[in-house]
Amino acid sequence: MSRRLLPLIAVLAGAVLLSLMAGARWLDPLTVGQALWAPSPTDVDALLVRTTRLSRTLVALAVGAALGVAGGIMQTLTRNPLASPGLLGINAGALFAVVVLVTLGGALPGWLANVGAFAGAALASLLVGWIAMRRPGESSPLRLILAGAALTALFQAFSQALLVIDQQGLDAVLFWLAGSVSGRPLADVWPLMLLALAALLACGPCLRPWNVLAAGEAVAIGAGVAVRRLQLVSIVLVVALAGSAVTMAGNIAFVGLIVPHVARRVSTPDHRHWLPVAALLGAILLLLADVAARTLILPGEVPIGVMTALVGAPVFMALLRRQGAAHG
Amino acid sequence: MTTISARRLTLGYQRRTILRDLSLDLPEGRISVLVGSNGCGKSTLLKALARLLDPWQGQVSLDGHDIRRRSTRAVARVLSLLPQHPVAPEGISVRQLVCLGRHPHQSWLSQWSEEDERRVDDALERTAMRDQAQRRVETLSGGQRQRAWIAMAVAQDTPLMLLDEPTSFLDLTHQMEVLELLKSLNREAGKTIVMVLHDLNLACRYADHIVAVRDGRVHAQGAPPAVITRERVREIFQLECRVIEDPFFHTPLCIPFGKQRDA
Repeated sequence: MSRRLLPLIAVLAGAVLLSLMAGARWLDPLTVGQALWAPSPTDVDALLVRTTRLSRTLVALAVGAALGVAGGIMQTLTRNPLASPGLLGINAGALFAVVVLVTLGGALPGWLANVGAFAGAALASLLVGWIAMRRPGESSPLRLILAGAALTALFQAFSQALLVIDQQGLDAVLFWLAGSVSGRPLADVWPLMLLALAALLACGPCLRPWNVLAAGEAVAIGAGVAVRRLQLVSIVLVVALAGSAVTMAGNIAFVGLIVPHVARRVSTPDHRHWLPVAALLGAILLLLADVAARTLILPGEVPIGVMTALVGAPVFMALLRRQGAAHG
Repeated sequence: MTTISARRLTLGYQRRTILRDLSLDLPEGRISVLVGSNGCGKSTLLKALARLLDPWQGQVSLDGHDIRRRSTRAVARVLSLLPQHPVAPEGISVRQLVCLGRHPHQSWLSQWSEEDERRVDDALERTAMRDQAQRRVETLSGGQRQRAWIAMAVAQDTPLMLLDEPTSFLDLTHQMEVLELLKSLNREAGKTIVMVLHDLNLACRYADHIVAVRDGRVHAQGAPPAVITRERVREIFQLECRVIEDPFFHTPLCIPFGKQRDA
């Protein structure tokens, strides 16, 4: 397994280095290395690397991996190839919470916005899960998707209404609307990174049961999978992964949708193979998207959510056409 | 060996009761076939036996103990299930599908064992799927696909197999192929087989024990000649028919009559 992953790990290392080098001011690899391991306190470049560049690199890394895996889990859970973490209402819930907080209290300290966004994401997905699984034994992927879509629409409507009433809030939430990995000091986001890392590791024991669940609930129960428990654990993992991702970087489109597909295509249908690939591909995609975002329209910056959508939408459309062809 | 039975089972969907106070013992080491008209509750009964549905009242017993008291993994070591119209994960090969059947015998730390490997090979061999092992399930024909799913259940290595309409959507050739396979699993490997079938004549041919379900209750059960008679078929299916002896296999052969014609 690790042999399959080695090339991807190498690409990831390259993307990390590139992300530390790139920007309005390009640095060479040597400067980056020096800044990381032997920084001189007066060196402006070292300061640049160790503060803004390192933090946005780590955020992109964590968010990309978390979204890739969370999307993969959602697709297995719902048996729907077009499912993504957003379907649980996670993004809409986080945005709504931030909008409410901003409307109530104006400018927010970073930690409060984080707590609020994560709580909103978790509450929204709990609500979706509760509606979809009202009757024991009668939950279905379709109910989850419908409940998620309905609640997402509801939360978005609330958010928009509040933003129309309180125009000043718009600036504060623009970050969450468009998505960005910049301006997130490590001091603010490290608990979220730890949470995402813990959730990634916690996927380990679920990999094999997910393989069976992918063949359907009835087949999985027949093969001895405790399906209800596995579904619950899966949703908790998705909330931890996608919730921390949206809290760190806002609404980043398409990563959770596209990356699992690509991972399954370049790997095998075995979750033990493709889910790690999805984590690596997600991290690579987001790192590269961020590099492009901050170098394309200097001195300005394209929001990374826009960047991933620019890349993701065409891939998504190609995917839909291929699936359409395959099915009829 | 393992016996499965239902004790005063009542259950349904939402507010609609499907099975009413149903009790049933299924003979060990035999092929039992559940028959009945659409909506009579035979599939629901099979799902309840397979613990896919929880009873409102009563219980399903495995060797005399409530099936819900045992972990689903422990149950899966003695009871395998082929649900109606299963859909394989995209891109999965026949062999990978069959390997899923080994799940209840593994813990998340344990490695794939030689025993697992042997059981998978054996299942592929028994179902004549060895040559197709590397093919993707979605590229198989309907009959092959059903054999691949049966191979997964065989790899699970359970004394008891439950199958919900394993022949639906198959042409006659493939229906026979699947039923012959199940019969050989019963006769050679000694597996207890319980399945739902729609075709009465095939049910008569392959069943040792027929259970006729009507309105959520067991209407009649026993050897095919005892259950499939003109009167019984009228009661179970509201269908006029004549029953003669199959000239070749000597099992009951039901010839359905329309409402207009009478002979």
